[in-house]
Amino acid sequence: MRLLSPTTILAYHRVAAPGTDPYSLCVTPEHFASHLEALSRCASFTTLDDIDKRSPWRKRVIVTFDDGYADHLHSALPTAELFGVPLTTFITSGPLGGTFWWDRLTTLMSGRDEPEVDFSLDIGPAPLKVHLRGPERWQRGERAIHERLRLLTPTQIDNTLDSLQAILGEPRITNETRPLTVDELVKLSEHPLITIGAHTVDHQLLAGRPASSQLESISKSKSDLEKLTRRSVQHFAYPYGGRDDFDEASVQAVETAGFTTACTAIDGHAVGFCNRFRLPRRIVKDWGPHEFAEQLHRWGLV
Amino acid sequence: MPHSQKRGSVMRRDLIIRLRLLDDAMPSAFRSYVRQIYRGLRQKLLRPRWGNLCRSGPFRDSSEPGYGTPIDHLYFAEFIDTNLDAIRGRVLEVGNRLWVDRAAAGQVTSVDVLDIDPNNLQATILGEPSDLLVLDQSSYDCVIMTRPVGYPSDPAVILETLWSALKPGGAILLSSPVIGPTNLENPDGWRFTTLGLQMLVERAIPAAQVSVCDFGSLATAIASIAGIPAEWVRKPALSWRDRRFPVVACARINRPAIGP
Repeated sequence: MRLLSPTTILAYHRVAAPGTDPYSLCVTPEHFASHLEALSRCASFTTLDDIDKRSPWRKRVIVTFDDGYADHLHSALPTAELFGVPLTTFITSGPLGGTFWWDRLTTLMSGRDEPEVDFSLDIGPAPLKVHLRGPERWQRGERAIHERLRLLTPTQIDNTLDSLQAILGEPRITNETRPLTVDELVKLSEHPLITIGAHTVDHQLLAGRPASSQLESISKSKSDLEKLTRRSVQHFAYPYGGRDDFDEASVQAVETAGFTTACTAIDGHAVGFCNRFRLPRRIVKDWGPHEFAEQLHRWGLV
Repeated sequence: MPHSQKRGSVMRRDLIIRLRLLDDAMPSAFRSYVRQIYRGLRQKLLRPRWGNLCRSGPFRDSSEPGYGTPIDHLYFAEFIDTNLDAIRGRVLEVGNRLWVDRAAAGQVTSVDVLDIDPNNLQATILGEPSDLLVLDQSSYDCVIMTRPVGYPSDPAVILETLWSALKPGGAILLSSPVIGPTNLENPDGWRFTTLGLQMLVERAIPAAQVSVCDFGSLATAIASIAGIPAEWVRKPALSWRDRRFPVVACARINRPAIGP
């Protein structure tokens, strides 16, 4: 097994400036440009395909995007072109052209100004009673529902969101965020700076699921994306990606499905004997130039 | 007093008597010389030896995974175990589901967990414990709250809410750390001594029948502050009790079967 050269893998989700961003997924286009500019001064950019190549002179950075939002094509790629930065985007193949469930939840719970949040909802094994007042009542309620929904299957999630909509009524805001459509994915994949990776079919939590079900979701996302893009898909990112969000069966399934690397959301940089199927990443938030410079210092890139 | 402590004090008294007899038997010039040596030795031996206790930070951060058993958990467990008869029927735990499962099988019919933290997956009720409308009135046989100070709200208001949710004949098991480090990310608003906890309950709920107790010793107080888990404290020291150094204060609040 070859030792990895020290490489920092950055994880972004979206390049956008929406009205609400409850899960801190967005980086504004201005901040994203300032990040790439700062990175291009202190490191060389590479891709997951070249993670094994030696680079003794400069620190190496890989820029990745998770989930497969439309703004990967419309906002992230134009900025990356300016700086010549290769991007790896991990696509959740199921919601292409549809909606992510967490965006539907945000749409349902945003724009509400009732002084009291008071409802009961059947989520998973036990019903959740929500009774909140105070300035962040709706955000807290949304976070609580999100934390419980991510443990459920896609069908259960849809049913629960239908019930929530029946309780709360029609959304007060329009959904501005959407995943890529199939056409957009094809266009994105044809760009020379883009490497397409897989992110499961449904973004369902892998930990605790039967090994066969995990393998099916992981393999199907690879085959679906390969069929749509007519390119080999070699890289994978675990949904949510935290230490408790995938297990040994997930790692086995990724290897069995034929991927060459898999990224997590565990904080760290890839170096030495680091397992290729448990590559750590640095999660990037909407940091301004000064905050990002501090992070680069913390990560040892400057 | 535990047996080992009792034996230690008898031995010390015995040694003092013997030294006095020896002192009387000595010639006066020699006696003053010996006393000088004794004072010097005493000053050196009785001085605290800090070792690695003199430090700027704790040994371990109790919020880190793999910390071990916090000292106060050990005392909470002892308090809960002595009041298992109160944990029955419909039970509400505030914060996390930590203690209700210590009750005998079949004694508890249903459990609710109340918390304000949206990330707490154990919570079945998401709300402020100080919000009177968050809980159904007179609906629980037992309420367990081992961290009332973790909430920034007025503790008296929290107690009134819990009291109103308690059925006649039910009980609230309440405990509060007396000492310990402050978590800067989630700072606590209140801490109570044993007397303070009793006064709080008596003022907030005049109709309550309250009995208070405390747990702790100098050794465990030091361990609580210095981030030393129970596994690192010598076993005999965990059983010492010294009311001058309470680590946790606990209260059992009974609601009379008939009355307000």
